[in-house]
Amino acid sequence: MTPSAETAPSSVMANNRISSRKLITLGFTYLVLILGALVFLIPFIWTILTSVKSSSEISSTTITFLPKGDWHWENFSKVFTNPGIDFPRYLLNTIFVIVGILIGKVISCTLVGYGFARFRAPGKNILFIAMLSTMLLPSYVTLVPTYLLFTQIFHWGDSFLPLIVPHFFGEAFYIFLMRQFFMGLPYELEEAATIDGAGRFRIFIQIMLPMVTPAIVAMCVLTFMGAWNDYFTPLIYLNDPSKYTLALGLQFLRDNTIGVNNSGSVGQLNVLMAGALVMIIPMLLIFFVAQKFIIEGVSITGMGGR
Amino acid sequence: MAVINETQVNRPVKKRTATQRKRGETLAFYAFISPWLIGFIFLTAGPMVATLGFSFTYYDLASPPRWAGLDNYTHAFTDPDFWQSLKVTGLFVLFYLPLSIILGLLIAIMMNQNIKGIAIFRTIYYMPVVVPAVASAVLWLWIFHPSRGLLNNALGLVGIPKSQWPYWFLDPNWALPAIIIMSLWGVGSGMIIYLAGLKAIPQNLYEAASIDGANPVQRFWNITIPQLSPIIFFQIIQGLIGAFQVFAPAKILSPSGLGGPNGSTLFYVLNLYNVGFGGSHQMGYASALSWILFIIIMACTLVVFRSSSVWVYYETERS
Repeated sequence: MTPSAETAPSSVMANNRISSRKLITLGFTYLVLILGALVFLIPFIWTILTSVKSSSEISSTTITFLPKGDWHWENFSKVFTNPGIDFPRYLLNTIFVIVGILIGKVISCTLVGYGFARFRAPGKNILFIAMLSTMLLPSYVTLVPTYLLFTQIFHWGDSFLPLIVPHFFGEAFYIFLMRQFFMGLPYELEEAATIDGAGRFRIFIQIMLPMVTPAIVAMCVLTFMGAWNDYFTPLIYLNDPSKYTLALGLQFLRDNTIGVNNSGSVGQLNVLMAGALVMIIPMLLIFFVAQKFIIEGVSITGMGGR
Repeated sequence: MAVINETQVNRPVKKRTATQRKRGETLAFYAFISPWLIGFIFLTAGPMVATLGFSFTYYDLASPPRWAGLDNYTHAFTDPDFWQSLKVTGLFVLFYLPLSIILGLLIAIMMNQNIKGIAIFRTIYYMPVVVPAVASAVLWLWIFHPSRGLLNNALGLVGIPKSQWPYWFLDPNWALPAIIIMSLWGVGSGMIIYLAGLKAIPQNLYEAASIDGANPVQRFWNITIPQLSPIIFFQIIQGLIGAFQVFAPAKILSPSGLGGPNGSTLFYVLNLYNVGFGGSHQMGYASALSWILFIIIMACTLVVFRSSSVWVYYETERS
């Protein structure tokens, strides 16, 4: 009607064309993202659904995806009351070991990280490079002598000491993480405290340590997960089933339900899957709560977990 | 007088405090790093040398070590299990490493968009990474079950007859592919790192390229890939080291835990475990295997490092 209306339609149409093309790309993106998410989620869903099925349903010849009838949550309590497989004990053992490891890691990695971040000393650069290069060192190169030291000389076989003690000597990855955080703090913090007459160790404990709490939390979360997952170390040091950690306990449960060679009865797969979930769920909860710390810790240092 | 006295007294004192401070700082440095230094000497460097020493001996824990010369090394090169473990590990690297890098990168690029709900997708894609290795193995064991497993039944739904369903962990040809598929479930670990790298690429590079008329594909190959190359490089090294240390799935998923069927999942470290800790304790031979592992990893890392100057782009080269 008005002169401006003459010019308006063409630009509106152009806008529409762009936005509809954008809409299609957006829709396509979501489609790919959702399909991908399904692929990543299905193993979890399948495990959960299996864990609440009845034994007869799992053993029957017709394969079901969703459980028929009731959901058998009692399979989870069966994990903890399985005769001969003391899951509550394994859980306690695991927590005990993890607490020990965390204490060791926090003490050693903060101290060493601060040392590398703040002091100048002859030999520091070489030691720093040596420390970093241990990150690339496969742990198996030191396996045999360390095993012999712990079992033959210290007689620590079937105790938690070989699992805990090495963590009191730091780990390159976390030392590096700590160093990066300490280096980001202003020197004025220490200078002010030095004028007040505080010693180096007091400055470290009272002033510097609280400043790197986020890094400590990130380290604790990642260490917790690593220790919860560890399978190799308990496997070589722990033979007594009463000392098992969850990782060994779950394998033990597998051996006693569907058999070592994976070809035994499938009737107890529901309990086995419930057992697997007992190991998985705490990790997922920690991940959901501490996602920010985990992803930051992993991306800062460029190491992909695992 | 008083003023002169003060300066005369103060000068030497100041000098002493300077050297004292230096010495104090050195002392403090070594005190702070002592936990690591002690561990480095007694739990890393010492054992490394000791492993080399043990590798020249026969040692079964029951009797003291006996000198073996190079026997353990020559034994390795005639031991079919050793060659099988190298083959399995090599095949795993050959298929898993490129797949995990390409998939991780593709997912990271998808995740690097400002669209609603992207954080939820990122969480979902990363979730498998936090699943413990043993739990993951147990879970996939069930998915790969020959007749009742989810995967084979899905194959049935798309029309593959039951007679052609793979036996996965029970079939020498399908056991390793099954472990590769299972490992790719954890591809989110690489994704997170690539994503951090993508976010760090300066946006003005893309803007400048767009103004110059570069299309999205050109921008990907000429900006994204060069900018990410240091990260990809690091991921290749990590992946190599990781592949040579695969253990839990190989041990748990093979029938009888020895890396079968027919050694098809006899990963390097599983063979090392079988030699040193599974039944007989051939500690000398296990030590030799650890040193060979160390040399292989160092050699691979070196090759990747050497080649990196060709394809890895560093910011500092520009200036």
